[in-house]
Amino acid sequence: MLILGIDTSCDDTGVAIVDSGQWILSNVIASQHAAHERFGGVVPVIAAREHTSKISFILESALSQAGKSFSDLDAVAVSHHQGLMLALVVGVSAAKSIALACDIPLIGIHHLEGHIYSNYIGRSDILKFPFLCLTVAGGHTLLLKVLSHGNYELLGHTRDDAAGEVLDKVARHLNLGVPGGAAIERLALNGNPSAYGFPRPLINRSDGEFSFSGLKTAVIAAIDRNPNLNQADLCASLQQAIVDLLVTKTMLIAERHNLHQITLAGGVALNQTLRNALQYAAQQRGYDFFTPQQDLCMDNGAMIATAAYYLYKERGADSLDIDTLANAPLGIMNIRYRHDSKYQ
Amino acid sequence: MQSLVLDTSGPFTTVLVISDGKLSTLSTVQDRPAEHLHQQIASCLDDVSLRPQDLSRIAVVIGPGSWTGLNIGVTTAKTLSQVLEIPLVPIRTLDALTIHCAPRVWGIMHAGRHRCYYAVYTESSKSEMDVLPINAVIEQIDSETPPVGIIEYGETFSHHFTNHQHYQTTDRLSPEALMTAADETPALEGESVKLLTPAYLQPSHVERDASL
Repeated sequence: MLILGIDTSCDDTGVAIVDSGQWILSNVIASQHAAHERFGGVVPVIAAREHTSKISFILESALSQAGKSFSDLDAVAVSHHQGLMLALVVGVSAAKSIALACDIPLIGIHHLEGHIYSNYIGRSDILKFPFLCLTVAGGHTLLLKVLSHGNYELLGHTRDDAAGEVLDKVARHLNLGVPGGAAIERLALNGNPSAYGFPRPLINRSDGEFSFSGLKTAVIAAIDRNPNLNQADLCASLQQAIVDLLVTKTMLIAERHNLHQITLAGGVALNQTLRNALQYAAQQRGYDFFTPQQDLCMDNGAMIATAAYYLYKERGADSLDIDTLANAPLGIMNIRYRHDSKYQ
Repeated sequence: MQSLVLDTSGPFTTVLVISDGKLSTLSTVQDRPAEHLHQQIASCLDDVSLRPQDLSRIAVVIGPGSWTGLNIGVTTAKTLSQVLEIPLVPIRTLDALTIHCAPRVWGIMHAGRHRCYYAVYTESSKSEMDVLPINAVIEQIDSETPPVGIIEYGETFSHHFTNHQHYQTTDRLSPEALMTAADETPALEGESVKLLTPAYLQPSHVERDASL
């Protein structure tokens, strides 16, 4: 079953063609970093305009790389929930147009489901339910127990900022450019991770709750107090604080819920220090650890097409008037946005 | 020849099907195009027993207008044109707005922050569309003799024109105007369809502030 997946939830235009949730025939991602660089972060109206101007070319190149045409497609999938509203509607409009013109099923996917399924590509025979998924990105930090296809239980989440948000904002404060996470990781390579003792909020609490806003404030305050401080040491210390928090909580929850398979997803999963630390911690306890290859960590269409392959079997197709929501409940358990805690 | 015409530039979403120069079906709803535009297109095609493959052209209003509405309309038209391999006709909002008006007419619409999109149309020519503060536009209109017609898309500036006899306002582009514009505007094909972006004309307010 050939599915074309589209993701335009933030600043990457992603289109991919995936065969039966297993074989990626093409995965094209057009980043907009250059368009947003001078603003120090993603500007939603510009993201929407960039998606609109690029989408036809990205569709064309995904099809030609896969050696397929529109008439070969069996379904079209799109992330329609969770992200920048102005950006999401562009991908949704394109997906609906393809579904209408080709008369094929339209499958709406929650952007976070896409990240969960990024680990499923090529691993459907190894990864067994239930497993634990840590999703860390610029907008999200959460621990989910994946019970079955489309069925998740929330075991932990951030009370305030996402881990990626801290990296982005600190990078902006240091004028490191975008994407901030990659710039901080590069600098941290030559830094001393123990140089600054940044706070690790809630690390001693025995639950899955995260909090990163205090860490963000502490690091930015340290920079403001001493503009000439060693950037490499600062980045290494910040990275270590985030890694300590994520590893400690993930292992705590894995042990408590007896989950022996741990997956990592989302843009921050590109961070090699985090990957290594989780891998090591999992190994120590005899757990399996999985994380996607690099181009599947960032926002992409392949994860959406893969999620769609499995979820189409569970939920069927969507109608042409599916909605687009910036914040939406996730999965059968209806993990829902609440004003006082981001997911619950 | 079967043409599909889409307008998502304003508060109303309009879908038309034109068969051999005649209007065969029309749907106008005041609703969110992100959710309902495609269902609206599907229903219009159903009404006249057409399949998407039967369409020979798609026309779309490319702006100016609602930023998100235009992104939805233009992306939809571009993708349909790409999948169905048919030409795309880009209609400029002010062209459609002034199409059935008296010979010398100013088409205007709100461009945000007391600014105004405008273009001047005469029997034989039209000026390039531009953006100016509303006061500058009014000054130019007032200097015209004899007095000219003014048509505004929306009614943001109506209080500026209470003394103008030839001022009129409309909350949507009429089906007749859209049909004529779709007929008169040259179509795009191939690469130029993929390159099409909405005619925002001016940068987003974020970019404008950044460059000040």
